[in-house]
Amino acid sequence: MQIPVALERLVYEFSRFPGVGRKTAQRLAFNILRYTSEETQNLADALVQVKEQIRYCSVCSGFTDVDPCSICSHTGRDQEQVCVVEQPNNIFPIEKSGVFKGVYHVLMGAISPLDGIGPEQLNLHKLRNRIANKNINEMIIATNPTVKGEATALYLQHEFAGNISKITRLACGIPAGGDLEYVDDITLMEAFSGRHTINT
Amino acid sequence: MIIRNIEVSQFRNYSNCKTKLSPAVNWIYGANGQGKTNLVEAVYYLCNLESFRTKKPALLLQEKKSEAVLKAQLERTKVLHSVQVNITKKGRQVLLDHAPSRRVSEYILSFMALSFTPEDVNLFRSVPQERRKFFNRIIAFNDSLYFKNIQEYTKIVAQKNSLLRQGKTVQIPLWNEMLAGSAAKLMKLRSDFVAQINLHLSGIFEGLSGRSESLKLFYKPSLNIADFNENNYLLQLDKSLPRDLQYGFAVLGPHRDEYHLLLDGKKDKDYFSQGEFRITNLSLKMTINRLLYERYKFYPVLIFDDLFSELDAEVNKHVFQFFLELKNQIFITSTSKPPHSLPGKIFQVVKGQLV
Repeated sequence: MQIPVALERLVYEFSRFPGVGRKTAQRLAFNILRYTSEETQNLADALVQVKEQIRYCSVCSGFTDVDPCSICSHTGRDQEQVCVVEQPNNIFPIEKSGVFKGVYHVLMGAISPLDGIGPEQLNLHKLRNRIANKNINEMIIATNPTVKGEATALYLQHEFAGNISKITRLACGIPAGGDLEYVDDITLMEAFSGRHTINT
Repeated sequence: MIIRNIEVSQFRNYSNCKTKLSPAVNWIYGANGQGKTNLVEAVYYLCNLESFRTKKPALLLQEKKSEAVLKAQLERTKVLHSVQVNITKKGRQVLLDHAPSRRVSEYILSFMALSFTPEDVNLFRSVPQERRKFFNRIIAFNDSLYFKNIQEYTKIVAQKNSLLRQGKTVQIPLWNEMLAGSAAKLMKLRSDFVAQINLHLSGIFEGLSGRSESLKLFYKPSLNIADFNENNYLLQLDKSLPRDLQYGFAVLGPHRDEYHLLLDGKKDKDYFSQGEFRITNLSLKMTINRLLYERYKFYPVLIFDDLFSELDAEVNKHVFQFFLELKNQIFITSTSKPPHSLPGKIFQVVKGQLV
């Protein structure tokens, strides 16, 4: 039997999600067929509202529903410490951990000539303005530990070396609570080269 | 490592062939075109997951068949593993101990075989890329970080080349800096490896050929070696920008490194005879074999395809003597029975059958 057009359309829309194949898309679509009309309306409203209400913060470019975002406008946060990340969603894990009390800046990508992304495609203009107009004394570079992320970190380091007194890079190494036995070679190498003295 | 038994199905001219193997020498003989090389090709494929003759899996299938199956029991560090490789036109599937094995690099590094075939003799005559590929694999065995360094380095070069194609020179220094750091790591590992090889190469060459000249493996990096100093590499890379732009790709760096063999200082391509290419290559493989067991107590399976056909009687005698002292499992193909007695098994191949 052929899948009805309306169902097929939904399956197609789901299958466009990252990590979702046709099988999973079908399962999701069939699940929605079991929804009550109220549940379906809620889902549809949520989809429409997320597009209507969520935008990029005009200061840090993170996701927000108020501008500037709750982090940028929070008086209790250290405005002199900026953590630079690649994507807006990178902010959430750091926030969840609660370890960082400063503010963020989202680059909207990482340098990758192969994908046509150079420094001019990144959200650096606003970062330059922030640094020029505000008193920022530390930039924490939290780009991913990949070739693209490292190249971006290197670029930031060169670009802002004269403007900020302290530029730092997130450490790489063994995960907390991890077992040495399961750590891969590269991570171990990073952990060894980034080791620190404890008997001072 | 030892292959205890092997089953070859619908592979080249073998419909089905199942046999136990000797942990010492397996001497495979038969007339031309009967399938001697095909059998050792199957052995090689089981260890290295590729053929030494072709890159096209379709050529490995028996005529009119859609799938070839290789099965074996491999013993490594006293543990018996069962391996099955299914080869189709599109590729291959590897089952290690009945579970799909996804990490091909890990598999190859655990079961590696060293081959010596008529094609291998051309290693130092063919394009530099073949030599880099060959040594990359051996060095990766010695150092698991090397494999990841190569992957990282390859990504950086691809990014730099993309900039060169787009003519965006402003960003080049950034990628040169990335490249210099990665290059330093690779060059250090390559250089150390070549030094290790050279500790034994001349001695093994003498043992195999009875000749007393010095045989050296020469590592000729594309960047001036400069004590593996990243800043020096950066200077060299920045200076090469006009040439990079002229050619449209990165002209300097470990992706352009070269390896040569030198016999009393004379370079392979310019001076070596056919016989010298053969015996020096054999010496190199035997040196690698020695490094593997000295450092890792690992004995790769050794495959010699048609080894004795082109060596003179005197050299043959030395080679035989040398083989008797090896602890590896050995596969030898020849058109005749062994001239001397050897520990192991003798197989005759007739039309894709063992008799």
